[in-house]
Amino acid sequence: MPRCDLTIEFDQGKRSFAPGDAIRGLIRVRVEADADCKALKLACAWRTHGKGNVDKGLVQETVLYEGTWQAGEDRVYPFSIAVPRGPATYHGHLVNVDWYLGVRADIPWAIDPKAEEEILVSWPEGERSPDLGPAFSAPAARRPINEAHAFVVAKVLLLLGLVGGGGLLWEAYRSLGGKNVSGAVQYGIMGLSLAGVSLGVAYLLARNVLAQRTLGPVRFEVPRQYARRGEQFAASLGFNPVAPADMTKAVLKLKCKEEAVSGGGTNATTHTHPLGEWVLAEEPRRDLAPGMGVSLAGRVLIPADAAATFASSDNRVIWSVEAEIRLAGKPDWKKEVRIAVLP
Amino acid sequence: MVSSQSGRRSRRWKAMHDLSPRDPHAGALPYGKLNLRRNPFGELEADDWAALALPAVDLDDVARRLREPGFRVQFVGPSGSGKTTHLLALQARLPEARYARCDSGRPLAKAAILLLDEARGFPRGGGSCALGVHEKIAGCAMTVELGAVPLDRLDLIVRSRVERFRRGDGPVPEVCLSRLGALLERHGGDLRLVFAELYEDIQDAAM
Repeated sequence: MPRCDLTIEFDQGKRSFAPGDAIRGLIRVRVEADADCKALKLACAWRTHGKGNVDKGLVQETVLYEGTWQAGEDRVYPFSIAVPRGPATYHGHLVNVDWYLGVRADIPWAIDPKAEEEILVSWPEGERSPDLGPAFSAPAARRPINEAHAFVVAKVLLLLGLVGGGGLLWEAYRSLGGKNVSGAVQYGIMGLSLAGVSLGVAYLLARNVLAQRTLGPVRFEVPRQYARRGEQFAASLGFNPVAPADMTKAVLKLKCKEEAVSGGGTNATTHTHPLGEWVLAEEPRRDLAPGMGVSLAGRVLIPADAAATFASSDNRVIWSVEAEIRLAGKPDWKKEVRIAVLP
Repeated sequence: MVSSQSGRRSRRWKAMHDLSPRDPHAGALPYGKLNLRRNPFGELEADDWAALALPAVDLDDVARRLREPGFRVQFVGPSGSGKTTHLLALQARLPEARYARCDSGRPLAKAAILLLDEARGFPRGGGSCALGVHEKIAGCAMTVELGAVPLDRLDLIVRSRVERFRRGDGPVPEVCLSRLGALLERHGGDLRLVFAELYEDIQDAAM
């Protein structure tokens, strides 16, 4: 049983802060039995909770007291601790980021008494460089996939898949000839899986290059990679077809989703939950003819209460702009560009 | 739609609608109205796993035996049967032990006692170890088989989770036994899948 009870009281009950603000209040210690307190530590930190593995960070810690306590004493320790820079409090479906003020008494040879209270941390409106989480990388820092290189990789992958898959299927055929049915089934499944996976991945890598044989070069422009809540966001898409085709749809969308990873290794599961989808521009079904240019452009208002971008190791709020051109009977063209939405 | 959802929820959960936060700050927090600090059925930290484990064996005894050199114990069961929970609860009792997942691709840490999840065999060397395995491995001094969780035990596990994340005095959500029974039947005893559904129930109620 702990030798004392700790409680945290906030100055004027205030629990909402911005990074850099001082949190003021009192720690009350009710001592149940004599104790030698090596350190009464107060810490401010954030951690995630929800569907994903717990991520945490940014501890601001201070020692309030070192010394002895005697049974029956009621001690009071005023504190003032600055909220460190870090992501804002966020409550979503899969991902939550909460801040905590915690106090712990380090007492040798006893269970450390502790107490913890949540606080709300939000960035001030218009903050120029808010912290969007420890795993956040600026959109500009992401290198776009080189489609020409991806096409070469797709061809190599396809070749390897067909050769490897074909070899395994040949082994299955030979096993069947040798009356080894279980061996034939195993080789057959492996061969078909290898060929199927290679074909699928190769198609995804080569899809845009194949589509541009009909569409010509596609201009997908996202002028700003950073946006703010409550602001307009614009993007555009254009192409001049080089061959006739039946375009079933072209659409430009702004999307926001939560992503959380639970478990690890082969048991790791990625959960996603859509938070919103806004159509910037849409072109209905039409026939494409060479030289007949198509362009889409549009803008949407990012809601003032939308989630801001957040990225920690296993928990994320992801914003992206997605462009898609669907062609009947031909490979579609599809691309997604990540952006960051600031509070 | 809303009314049918809330109607369905009221059959699944007892006392959900009578909860009122006593702490005014709790009103600003999504789980405050449920008198919870967070969704109890999300992922947990290691100390929560350890505190919430309802072990199938006396883990203090297993921990004592793991301190003897070369002792090997295996927890055998399908996904969601509690292997990880048992290993993490052992780690809380054995500060000198190292927990690792064999499927993480990372090299195993050196430690006097290894707690290996998703193991397929014994590690090299003669140290003590506890394994979480799907199929029984020969050569273990002790084998703990983790089968399907009975309804009363699941009820206890769910209550412990909800209590662990209680915000303050007053009622907290309570799951109906009929709902738990239906979940057990649907997911064949895989607690991960059972908790995934309970997670959604709490989200529905909190938002």
